Amino acid sequence: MAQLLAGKSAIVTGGGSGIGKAIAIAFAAEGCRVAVAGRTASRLEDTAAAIRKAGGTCLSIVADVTQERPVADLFKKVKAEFGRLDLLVNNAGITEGGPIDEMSFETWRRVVATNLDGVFLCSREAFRIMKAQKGGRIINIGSISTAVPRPNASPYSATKNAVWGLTKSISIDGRPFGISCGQLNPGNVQVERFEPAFASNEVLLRPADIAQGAVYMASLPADADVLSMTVMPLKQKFVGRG
Amino acid sequence: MGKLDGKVAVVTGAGTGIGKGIARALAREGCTVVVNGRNMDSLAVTVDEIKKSGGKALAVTGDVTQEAPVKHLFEEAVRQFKRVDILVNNAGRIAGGPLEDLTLEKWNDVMGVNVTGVFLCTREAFRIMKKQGGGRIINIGSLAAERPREESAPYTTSKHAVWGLTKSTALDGREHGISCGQLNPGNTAVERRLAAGGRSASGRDQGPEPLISVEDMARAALYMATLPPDANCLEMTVLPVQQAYLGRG
Repeated sequence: MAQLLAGKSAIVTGGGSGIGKAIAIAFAAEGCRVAVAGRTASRLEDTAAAIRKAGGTCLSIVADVTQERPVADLFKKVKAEFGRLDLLVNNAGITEGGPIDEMSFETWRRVVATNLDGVFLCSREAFRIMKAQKGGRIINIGSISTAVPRPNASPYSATKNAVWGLTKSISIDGRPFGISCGQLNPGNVQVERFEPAFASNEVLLRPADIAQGAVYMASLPADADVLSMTVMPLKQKFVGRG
Repeated sequence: MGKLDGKVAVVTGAGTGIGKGIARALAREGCTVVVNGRNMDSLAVTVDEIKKSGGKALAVTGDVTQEAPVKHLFEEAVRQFKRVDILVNNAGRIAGGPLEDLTLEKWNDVMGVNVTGVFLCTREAFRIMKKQGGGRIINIGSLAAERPREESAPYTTSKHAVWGLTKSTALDGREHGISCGQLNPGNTAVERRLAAGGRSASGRDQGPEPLISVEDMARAALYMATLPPDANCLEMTVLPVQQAYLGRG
């Protein structure tokens, strides 16, 4: 069967674990050349090794998405290596939270820096490349917190709501240049990192199922866009009042 | 091997357009598809195309706005194939016009198909799926579930109602393993739309508009349908990049 992303190239931030890793692997399985970016070299190398073992192409690049210079360097390297950039998956995110009256400004700033500044900085670099090459696709990983918050998750909910604003802004600003932007909002997913906010009995999805959603988004023709998609465990408490 | 081998789906409004595209996509993955609509001729073409590519399909005509034909549709599905794993509520009516000129007949016609039809089919599917211990319902909404076109009050109101029904079905189905999600398509290259040169029929005419293919739209429903039973795609919105939708206007 023909590969859905043959000939394309992508950057996946936070590609060393969880949903980002699963998306990188799923894109590569469809013929996409992938660059995974993140803070921890060993984890990125694990993703790259898994992709190469399966016959795919993967670069691992250590980069802090909250800083201008490393983000600019990341995109420069990928452009130099792959020649173009068709897809950016803004997946890097952190989930610190707590009661608002006990929250330090540092905690707030850390979450805003990764979940919001990082999406802006990466999207800006991608937009520059995609505008010059006349097209591309940006996929933001949001959260079901975009619609309904958990208790004690103010920085997370605030930033994920802000990302939805950014998704729509990039989408409308990208329209004249053939740059599309969409947002994938996962519910609870089984990822490696510790989730203190999760009750121990909560149901979890597999990252690979979320990744197939991202593959569908990425595989659409350039003139079609998935603006939003929400994927969650059937049993997760979300739709009702609470 | 298909991703939906052994599964049975009911797709309403499957004689043309997105419904036909979804029926074909499901059948390609091994799903047995019961296609419903009012017009036997077009349903027969859908069934024929599915069978020619090696799939399994059955046509059952029936008006989704009426209790008896909807009951009959699901009875036939269960009689022939023993179960219903997937329901795609796709049948829809498109009508609009200046608010002051809308007749009650037009309003009721749109609500009948787009809202009552979804309820009646969902109720029958729910009864079957509850007994089976699970199932999946996919409602076809619209961008109009979120924002109206000008002069589209009946259509927009009906699609907003569908979103309420999607969430209620998801909530009430949760304890029974029944999931419910909504696919909101933007402009899609269905037969009617192509014949109209890309012009919309659900609101004020804005001239030819960009369209995306039925096949690409159907792949969205396929992703929703192929998730494991413990996962639900609650909503997905798919539209042409160039469609005027996101901005203010």
